[in-house]
Amino acid sequence: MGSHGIKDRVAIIGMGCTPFREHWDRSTDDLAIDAVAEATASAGVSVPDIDAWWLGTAQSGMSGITLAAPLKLEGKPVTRVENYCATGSEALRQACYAVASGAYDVAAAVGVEKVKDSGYQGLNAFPIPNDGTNRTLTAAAMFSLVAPAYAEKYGVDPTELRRTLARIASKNHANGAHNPRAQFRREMDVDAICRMPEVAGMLSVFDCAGVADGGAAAIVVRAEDAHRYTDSPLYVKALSFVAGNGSGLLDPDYDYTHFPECEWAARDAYAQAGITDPRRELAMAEVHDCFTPTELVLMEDLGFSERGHAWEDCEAGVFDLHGDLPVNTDGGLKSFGHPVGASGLRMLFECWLQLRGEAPEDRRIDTAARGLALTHNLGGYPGEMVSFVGIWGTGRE
Amino acid sequence: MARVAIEEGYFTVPDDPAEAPRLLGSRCGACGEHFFPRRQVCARCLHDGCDDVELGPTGRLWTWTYVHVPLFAKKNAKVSAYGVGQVDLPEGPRVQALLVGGPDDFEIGMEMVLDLETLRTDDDGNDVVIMRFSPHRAAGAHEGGERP
Ligand SMILES: [Zn+2]
Repeated sequence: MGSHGIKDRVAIIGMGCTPFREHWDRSTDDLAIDAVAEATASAGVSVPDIDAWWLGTAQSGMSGITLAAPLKLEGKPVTRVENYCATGSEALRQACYAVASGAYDVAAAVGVEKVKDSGYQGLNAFPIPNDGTNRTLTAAAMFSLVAPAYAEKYGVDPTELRRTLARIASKNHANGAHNPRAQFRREMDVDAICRMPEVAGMLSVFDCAGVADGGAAAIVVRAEDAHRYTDSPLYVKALSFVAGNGSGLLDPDYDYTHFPECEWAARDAYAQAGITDPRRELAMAEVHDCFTPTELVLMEDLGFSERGHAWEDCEAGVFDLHGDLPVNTDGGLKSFGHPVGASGLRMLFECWLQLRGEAPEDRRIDTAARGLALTHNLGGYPGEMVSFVGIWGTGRE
Repeated sequence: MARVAIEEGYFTVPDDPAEAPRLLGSRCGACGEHFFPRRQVCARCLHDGCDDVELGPTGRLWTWTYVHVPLFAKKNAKVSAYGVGQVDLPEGPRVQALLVGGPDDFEIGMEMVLDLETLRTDDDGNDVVIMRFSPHRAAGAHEGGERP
């Protein structure tokens, strides 16, 4: 039994997103203030108009005071949430439910993370399950285990699969090159990515998401109130979340070629939204491309490709900017880095731009016919992860 | 000179260096499921009271990677990269473990055997050992040679 869902009961009326990069000259406070200022301006509201706040940050602060202090909120509820790399989406999920419940008229979700301040990798406070002898296994190494298992299961030549993975990174770099908010803004071809220094297994440095600071924010109201604020709101079609129980670490039936938590979250989200054929109903998807094998198998877990065929669809350009189902049109984690609290909202920001026809012309896609977008996060590792799937649309039934 | 495990409770350290080490695992007294590392409560049937058993020392490689960062960070600065695999033990568990060999030495499905390697010497002059799996065909071939 999944969620009953809150389809078409909540609308997004304003969003903001800072550039994602090394913000050595900006604090967590600055990034939160910048994201909120853009979101409130876009919605035509002021900070005191917002009745309740949810703050997503993994490691840049604790408690709602992290947000209440810089925004100078007075007498307002602020809840800080953390859910691994789905932290930003989790803040939004809670804000949407709060409005749907009738408890608040206007709520905001803010995600912010200063990753660079805490050192190079930035995510090292997340506990990595281990047997006492493998403590330096990196996130890249954990996800690199997927590639040989996938190649073996589906009979793909590993050297061919390696180039497919590089093509995924190359596609995301090409999209990010057109995005002034992205951290990396250069196109990278497959050969160049394959020549980069090796990190783990098949993966080079450029198969991995960058590390960046950033903030993003969304303001939500009841769907029936949306047109008081904007002519083109986005409606919440589905909010789905799964926390895995870690059995994949113990269970040899888990084969490292898919992420069941993501399959479950997607299935629940499609049921809520009434989607039966995501490949043909969605205009676009923003997925959690922390490493290139992740994006590969997500195309299958999210139902965009048949099992064992995502690599062919990637090669055929299905997920390219002007492919049948564009994926990560803003450049993805690959181009943006991954400030954990902000990423989910950054993904929604791209849907906000694309579905409303406001994306810059050089990366604008045609969303008129479909009008639905998906955002996805995962956090953790193969065998033990959390996953979020959200679906957003321009129309309301 | 004695050999001591880097951490107690994960593998045996036989007195005879020629003898293969075993993994210290558990077997559920109710459903028979095996686990590594050791646990008290069965993860499958929740029976409280798993028995201590020794697992391995062989296994089969399910998937693997080769990590280009120094092993154990500053504890072994000579190592610039190392293999890690998911190794299926004959008793059932799939174990994540370090591998012996270079990036071209591994293939899914190959038979692996458990091995101990000296990481460093402690203040009492003991050899501090870690466990690794090596490709079975190469077992013994690396003795005395420099390991990647
Ligand atoms: Zn049992």
